[in-house]
Order: sequence, then C-alpha cells, then structure tokens
Amino acid sequence: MELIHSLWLLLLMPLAWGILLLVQPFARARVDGVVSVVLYGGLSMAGWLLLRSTGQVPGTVIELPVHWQLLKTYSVNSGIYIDYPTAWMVFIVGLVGSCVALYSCRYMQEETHRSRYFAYLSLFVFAMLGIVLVRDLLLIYVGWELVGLCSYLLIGFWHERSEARRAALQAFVTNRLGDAAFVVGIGACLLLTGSTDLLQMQQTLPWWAALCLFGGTMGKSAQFPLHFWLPDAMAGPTPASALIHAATMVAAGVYLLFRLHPLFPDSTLLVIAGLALITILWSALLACVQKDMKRVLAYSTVSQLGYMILAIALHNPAGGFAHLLTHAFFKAGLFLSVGAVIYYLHHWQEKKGLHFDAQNMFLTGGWARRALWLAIPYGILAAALAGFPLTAGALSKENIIMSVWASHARFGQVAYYLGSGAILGALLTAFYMGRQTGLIWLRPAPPEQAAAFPAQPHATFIIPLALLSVGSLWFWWSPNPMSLEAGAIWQRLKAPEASLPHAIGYLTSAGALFMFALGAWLYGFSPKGKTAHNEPYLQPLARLLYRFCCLQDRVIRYLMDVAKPNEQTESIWLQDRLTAWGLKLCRAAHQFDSKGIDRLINGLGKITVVAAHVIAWTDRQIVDGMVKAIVGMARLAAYIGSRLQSGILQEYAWIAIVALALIVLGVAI
Amino acid sequence: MKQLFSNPFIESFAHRFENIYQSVGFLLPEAALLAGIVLLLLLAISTRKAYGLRLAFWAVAIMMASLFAQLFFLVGQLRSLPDEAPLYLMADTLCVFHPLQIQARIALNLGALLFGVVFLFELLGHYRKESVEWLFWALSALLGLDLLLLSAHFLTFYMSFELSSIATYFLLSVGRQRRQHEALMKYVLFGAFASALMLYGISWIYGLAGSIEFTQAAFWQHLQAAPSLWLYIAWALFAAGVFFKLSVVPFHFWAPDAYEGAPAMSLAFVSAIPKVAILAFMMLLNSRMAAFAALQTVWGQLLMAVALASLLLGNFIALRQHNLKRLLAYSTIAHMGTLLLPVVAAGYEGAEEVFLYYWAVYALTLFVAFALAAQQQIDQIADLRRFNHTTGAKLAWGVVAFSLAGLPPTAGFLAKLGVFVHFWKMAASHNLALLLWVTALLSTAVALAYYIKIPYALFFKQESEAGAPAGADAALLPAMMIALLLVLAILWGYPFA
Repeated sequence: MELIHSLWLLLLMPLAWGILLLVQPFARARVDGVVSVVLYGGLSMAGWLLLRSTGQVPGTVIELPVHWQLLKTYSVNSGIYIDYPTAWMVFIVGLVGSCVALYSCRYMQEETHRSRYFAYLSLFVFAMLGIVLVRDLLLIYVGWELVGLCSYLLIGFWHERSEARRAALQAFVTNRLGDAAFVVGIGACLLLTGSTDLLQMQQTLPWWAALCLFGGTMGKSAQFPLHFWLPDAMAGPTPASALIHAATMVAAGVYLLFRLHPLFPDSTLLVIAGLALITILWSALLACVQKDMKRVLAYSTVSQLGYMILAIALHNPAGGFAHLLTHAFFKAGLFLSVGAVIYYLHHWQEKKGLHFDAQNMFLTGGWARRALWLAIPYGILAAALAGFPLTAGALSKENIIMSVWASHARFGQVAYYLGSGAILGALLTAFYMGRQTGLIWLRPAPPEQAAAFPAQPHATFIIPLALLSVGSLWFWWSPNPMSLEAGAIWQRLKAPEASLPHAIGYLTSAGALFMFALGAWLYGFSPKGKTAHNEPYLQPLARLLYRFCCLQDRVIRYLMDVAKPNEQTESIWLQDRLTAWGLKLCRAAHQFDSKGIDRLINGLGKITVVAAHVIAWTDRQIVDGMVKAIVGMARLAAYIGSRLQSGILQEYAWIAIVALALIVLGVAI
Repeated sequence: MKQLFSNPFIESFAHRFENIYQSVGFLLPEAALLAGIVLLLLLAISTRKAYGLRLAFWAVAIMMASLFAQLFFLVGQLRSLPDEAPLYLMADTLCVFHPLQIQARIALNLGALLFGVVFLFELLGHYRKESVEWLFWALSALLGLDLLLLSAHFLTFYMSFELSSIATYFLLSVGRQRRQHEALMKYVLFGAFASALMLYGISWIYGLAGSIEFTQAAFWQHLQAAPSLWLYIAWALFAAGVFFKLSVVPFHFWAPDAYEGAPAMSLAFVSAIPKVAILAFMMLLNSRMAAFAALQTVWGQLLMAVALASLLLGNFIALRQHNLKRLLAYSTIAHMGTLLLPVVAAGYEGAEEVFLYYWAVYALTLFVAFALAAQQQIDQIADLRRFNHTTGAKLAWGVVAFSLAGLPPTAGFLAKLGVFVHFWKMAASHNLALLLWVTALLSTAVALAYYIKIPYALFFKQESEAGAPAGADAALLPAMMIALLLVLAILWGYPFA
C-alpha cells in the first residue's frame, strides 16, 4: 500500500506534460505523440494494478499533504479516494487515452499545431483523473470545469473554421448552464449536510437539491434538453471526439450520478429516469436521419448515456456503470474506425482537388470490400453498440433493460413504460447502426472513388482498433455471454436482489438483429442501375422513410420558426432561445450596475486621477532628478572601466601588477 | 631471503611500495577519469574517418561512462569519511581528504556530467566535427581540477593547476574561427604571466616558511613568524594565478575577449566548472589557517579587496555591453566577487553550504544560457529579437536573466540571499567586510539594469512575425528542464539553517 500513496504524482504527470507541450511545442520531432502514448499507457497499467489491488479492499483513502481551509467551519477535503469504480475509471481513461494518442500520431500528423493538440489531450486526461480520484464535490467541480475547458479547446481546435468556433462556444455555454445548477447543488449540500465530502454525506437530499446536482450531469452528459451541444461538438478532431465526447468526459456526468444517487429521493430519480428515456428515444430517432457519419455516432452517444442514467436512476448502478465501461470501448472504437474512413477520403479529396463533404455517408460506400481490415473492427464495434449477442454492449444494455423491467417492484407500473421505451430505443439503435453499416461499408462504392481506399493498413490505426474491438467482446466482462450477472462488475457493485427477466433480454437481442439487418438491407443494397451519389438512391421503403424524415425535418423547422434551412435546425433554435434569454439577463444586470455602482466607481476614478497628477509631478521633479544623477554616475563608471579593456596585452599585465601592488599597499597599511 | 629484506634500502623500498599499493585505492576516481581520457585519445587516433556523428556519440558515451565511474568512487569516499572525525584525513603526504573537498569534487563531476548531457543534445541540434577533441580537453581539465583539490603541497597544486589551465586553453580554442585566435593568444600569454607570478609567490612562501607542504602545522607556524608585509606580498603573488583562474579584478582582462569568440559550449564548461575547484581550495586553505589569526587577516583582507573591486568593476562595465558573451563574461566577474564572500567568511558556520548552493545555481544558470545561445547561435543581445522563439525558449531566457540577477521566482534569489545572510555574521563585526557587504548588496541592484536587457529584447522588442525559427527544438529540452528546476527550487524554500 506504500505505492498507492504516491498516486497523486501520477495525477500530476499528464499536467506537467501538457504544460511542457504548451510551452515548448515540438514542431519536427514526433516526441509529443510517442511520449503521450507511453504516459497514458502507464496510466492504464496503474489503473489495472489498482483494479487488481482493490479487488479485496473496499476502498483506500489517501490524504494529500495539502490542507485547504476554505472557511472557518469548513475545509475542503483534498484527499484521494480509490475504490473499485475509481480504479476502473483510471484504467479506462488511460487505455482509451493511449489508443487515441497512438491513433492521433497519424491522424494529426500534418497539423502545424500538433503539439497543442497533444497538450490539450494531456490536460484533459489530468482533469478527468482529477474528477474520478478526488473525494470532495468542490474539487470534483474544479476538474469538471477543467474538462469543460479542454473540451472547448479541442472542439475549437480548428478555429479557422467558423462552425468549429461556433460549436466550441455552444458546447461551453451549454455546459456552463448545467454547471450553474451543479454549483447551486453543491452549495445546497454544504448548507444541508455541512460537508461536501462524498464519504461523509449520508442523509437524503431534498428533491430540488438533487435536481440541481443532476443539472451538472445533464450538461456534461448531454441529457435532454441540454443534449444538442454534443452532435455539434463533432467539429473537433475525430480522435479527440473519441476520447472526450464518446468515452470519458461525457461519461463523467454518469459517474457523478453513480456517486451521488444514493442521496437522491426516489421521486427525483423517477424524474431523472423519465428525462433519460426522452433522451434515449429522441436522440435515437435523430440518429436515424443524419447524413454525417460522426453525427450519427454523436446522437447514439447521447442515447447510450441516457441508458446509463436510466439504469442508475432506477437503482441499478452496476448495470449503468458496466454500460459506461463497455460503451467507452465500443464507441471510442467506432469513432476511430469512422475517423479512418474520413481520413482517407479527405486525403484523396485533397489529392484530387475535389470538394465534397467527406463525412457525408451518402457520398461514399463500399469500404468493406476495399478495406476489410478496417471493416472487421468496425463490424465488431457496431455489433456491440447494436446489442448483438456475444458482445459487451449486449451484456450491459440488456442488463439495463431487464433491470428497468424488474424495477416495477420499487417504482410500480411506470417501470413497464420505461422498459418498453428502452426496448424501443435499443431497436432504433440497431436500426441506425445497420443503416450506417449499409451506407458506408456494404453499398457499392462510387466508381470514381476507387483510389480513395488505402493500399495497406496503417499500424497506428490498426492497433487501437484491434485493442478496442477485442475489448468489446463478451469474455472480458462476463464468462456467460447472455448475462452480466456472472461478471465481476455486477458482483462487486452490490446489485439489487431482484431476479431479472431474461426473456426480455433475449427478445431484445433478436429484435436488434432483425432491425440491424433491416437497416443494412434498406440502405446497403440498392436497386441495380442507379448510381447517382448525390441523391440517395434507395430501396422504395427506405426512400419512403427518407421522405418521411425530410417531412419531419420541415415540420420541426416550421414549428421552430427558423427561416434558414439548416442541418442543425434544432440545436440552433434552442441556442438562439438561450442566447436571447441570456442577453435579457445581462441587460437587466447592466441596468442595475450602471445606475448605482457606476457612479461610485466614477467618483473613485476622479479622485485617483487627481492623486496621480500630484504624484506624477513629484516624480518628475524630484525622484527623476535623483535617478538621472545615479544613472549618469553609473555610465561614467562603466565608461572608465571599459576603457581599461584596451586590447593590448602589455597594458593588461601592467595594470594587473600595479593593481595588485595597490591592493597590497592599501590592505597592508 | 630474509637477509634481503633486512637490507635497509630494500626494506624502505618495500615499505614504499606497500604504501603506494595501499594508497592506490584513494586515487580510483582519478583513475576512472584517466581511463576515460586515454580511451578518448585512442578513439581519436584509431579511427580513420576522424570525424563523424557516430564517433561523437561514442565519445560522449566514453566521457559519461568515466564520469559515472568517478562519481561512484567519489560517493564511496564520501561515505567512508568518519562522521565525527578528524577534519583532514591524510592518505599520504601527497593527498588529503576533507568533506568539502570531496563535495567539491562531486560538484565538479556533476557539472561535467551535465555538460555531457547538454553536449549530447547539442550534437542532436547541429553536429560539430571537433567533438572528440572537445571532450578530451574537457576531461583533462577536469582531471587537473580534481588533482588540484587533492593536493597537499604547493608543487602538486601548481602541476595540477597547469594541467587544467592548458586543457582550458585548448578547450577555448576548439572550433574557433581564425581571426579570433588573437584573443586566445592573449589569454594564453596572460595565463602564463599569471602562473609565473604564482610560481614566484610560491617561492616567496618557501622562503618565508621553509617548506611548501601546507598540510603540516609547522609550515603555518613558520609562516606566522614572518613579517606581515612580506606575507602580503607572498600571498598576493601566489593569489595572482588563482585570481586569473577565477577571472577576478585585476586579472579579469582575458575573460571578455576570450569569451567573445569562443563556442558557447566551451564557455559553459570554462566559465562555470573550474571555479568550484579553485574556490573550494581557497576555502580549505582559509580554514587551515584558522588557528593563525594573523595569517587569516592577511589572506582575508586580500580577498575582500579583490572581491570589492570585482563586484564594482564587473557590474558597472557590464552595463555598456551589447554582446551577449561579453555581458556574461562581466557577469561572471561580478559573480565571482560574490562567491568570494563565503570564501572569506569560511570560518563562520554554514559557509560550505552557502558556497556550494550558490555555485550550483550559478553553474546551472550559465548552462541554460550557453545551451540556449549555442542552439540559436546568438552573439549580440539584439540577435535575440531576430528569431521566433518558442514560449519555452523565451521563458528559459527569462529564468536565466532573473536567476543571474537574483530575483525572487528563481533559485538565484535564494542563493544570493543565503550568501548575504551568511556574510552578515562577519560583516557585523568587521569594517572592511561591512563595506563589502553593502557594496555587494548595492551592486545587485546595478546588475538588474543589464540583465533585464535579455527579457526586454525577447518580450517587448520582438521585431517581426516572420523571423527565422530559432534553433532545433528537441535540443532545447535540457536547457528548459534546468530552467524549470531553477524555478522549482524555490519550492524547497530557503535551504540554509
């Protein structure tokens, strides 16, 4: 246990590395990527060791040598708390971080500011570790804001593009909205329980405080109605999206809820569950109509986060946490494999001098036949997301659905509605994944794109993908491929006693298989003879669905009263509303400010100016004169001294001898 | 057989042999250095393609290996010193051991190791073809300095002093351009002049004491009996060589000229490393005469006068300099003046720590400065403006300026503070010392005026965006690491009791 006490050094290493990279960019050498990979790899090893060592003990508290007395009666507990979930989070952050860093070595190779990218990544890892390791809510909040900042910086990494700037700002502001509620919640905790220490808070909070705390989760984990920032955040570099907006940062909200939910009253938890269900269905529906391949995955992330929150809200923390972990594996992997497609298309496009949207799924196809090495990991990962048997995703997601179904014992009839909704969401998930598989991988490629396919796989792409897709298979998580209950996570995290209805799980799996096949068939196998790639050429049924979606799009646009036709209608509408409200608030504050406070400040300002004039006069006349005299003397001395340095050796020798003699005489007499 | 050994000549021979055999162990650190030197020499003459990057890396490897071996033996010696014990441990009449002496030798070794690391990164940046010679002379100078610290006799002192001097001449000549050989020649001649004065001084000392074995009490007793004016003359002449090596007034003339054309890497070695050996030797000498108050007064007053002159002259002339290396040369003169304070006050408790800390900080700062200057090939301070520095390089330059000036966020501040606080113990009861203390304090303020030129040129007078990119970036890494260390050192707080 001695080693564990120096864990906080581990926490500081990514910080130090990030700062070093910011201060000293490595433009030519590949140091930044390689060191990052090694650093995060080391982190994941440490996480693994922690996981092994926390298998027996309930939790370790490490006191840091810092004591932060904030108020007289209240001090922030700066210790670190390590238990089983923490160890898992450290492991997953390190593992996905190192995969993403390795992947970025090639993906970001030609960027001028590559070092800055790695610096942000490293700072993010530091902040994320901070969130999972510290035990005080106030310190969690510090990490919370830091990951928000890193997310902002990474979304806006290509700040030359206006949509990246906009998306970064939107993400930041939306998160602040949730965080404002979170701060109020922390204050409420302090007020009601006298502590913000996670280990000391025991009593149940009132509903309003719990909802405020959930506000933080809502912003960070992109829950309805604050979910719209996440799809727009895809303007950032794809590997960063994989780490931050798929695997770790957005899961921080879930992690917070995981820690806090024992303090929440049941009524609040039910409201949270309802919101989670709306999130699941709403974003799954939106994922079915996206053209941009990354946005599909982003909406799917929102929807999967909804599952985790649903599970935790219905008192199944083990299932929710397990889904967080499996989701980190397969969603990060999906982002990386889709990112590879975008990378190759982008390069081909640049070589040919073409201009089309490389992320539009309708403008490409046939990748399975040309790049099988990329298609196999994608297949595994997509299957995991869709919930196929033998995958990790199926284990955790079906566990959630079953536990929702079984929670009627505690929550009553409403559990069935929630459960049905969750099943519907799972079917939709399978459908849009099938759709994406059909569009990108199975459909015949546009003939002119033959050159876009990579001749040979790149190891920097293959290794992370292989790692993540192997991790998405069932046997790591539970020896029984049909149930999570045999796995260590379930057994460790004190699952509820109720027996789960396994039949529901099997049915969902079968349904998912069917919906996936339907999606893939509808979008992947087009009628013969139609090769136009700008207009979607689709099966009649798919065309109908597409038209329906277009119609739905128009209706939404009409309802929201936005004149400009835009892909991101929904988010812009919400954003405009929020901005308008915010502006009103600002104006009101300004009115208040300019009446009373401004006058006071003006008066003070005038007094200062008069005083400054007086001081300036004294300065010029008296102080400056003295300074000038001193400077003049110094100049004179310097002049005389440097005249001695004549450059003639004989003079040097004479001066030395005479000076030595003078010194001897001076000292001796 | 027994007959043979009872022969007095043979017996004394056998006794001597035994003695030599037993004391070889004390010279293992030097043996390691010597082995490194020989290997470097063999490397230089045995390869047909005399110059090549791989050869250079091999040379660095040899140097590092021999330095590590030396460090290993030195640490062993330090450990084997008895804790409470006689201050001096005589291994033979030719060498003595003392904690400060071994610490100073370790400091020399660590400085050379650091030099090796910076040199390695320098090689990565831009390859220099003279690297084997360079390292050879560096190691030779190191051996000379090491032996100098070991010496117990003015003659051995003189020999090792000359060894290090000659190596230093060559070190400063390597890689120099033709037209700059004039300054070097002056340096060599002036050095010869100074060491002649020193030899003359030693002969005076011999005349006064009848012996030059300064580890013997009899030597000091005889010396004390001599008239004080003769003593002043003898010590002043002896000190000429030492002052030359330290580049303090009035033997400072060589420094600015020789620095100006020398490659920055040589300067990093010459300007920082030898000083610790010379100063430590002077400190040891000073503490030897502790029992002889009259002698100590002579020696102390001499040093104080020189320190006073160096502080004033160095700092004021530096105000007029525009060339970075000349500026650093004058700054060295001033810093040596400051470093003489703990040497003078060696009798007061804690002098060793203050001295070693100050030297270490000063040497590290100079390493950063010269490593940066070497990477970016900067001569004039104005040159700093021409390049597009990375933020890291800018900050490192800033740390250099602040640390040399002794401003708070750096270790330079702690070092200065330590020296001043320590010297106050002496200044409180001694007029000349008080004058020196006040001068040192005030000249620190003067020094600010010229050190600030460096950050000013970097942060406020940047010429254009389209400047040349500055230096190889990975090679700046050690410099920045050291700079960071200099800042972080402040976290450990005031290191002296």
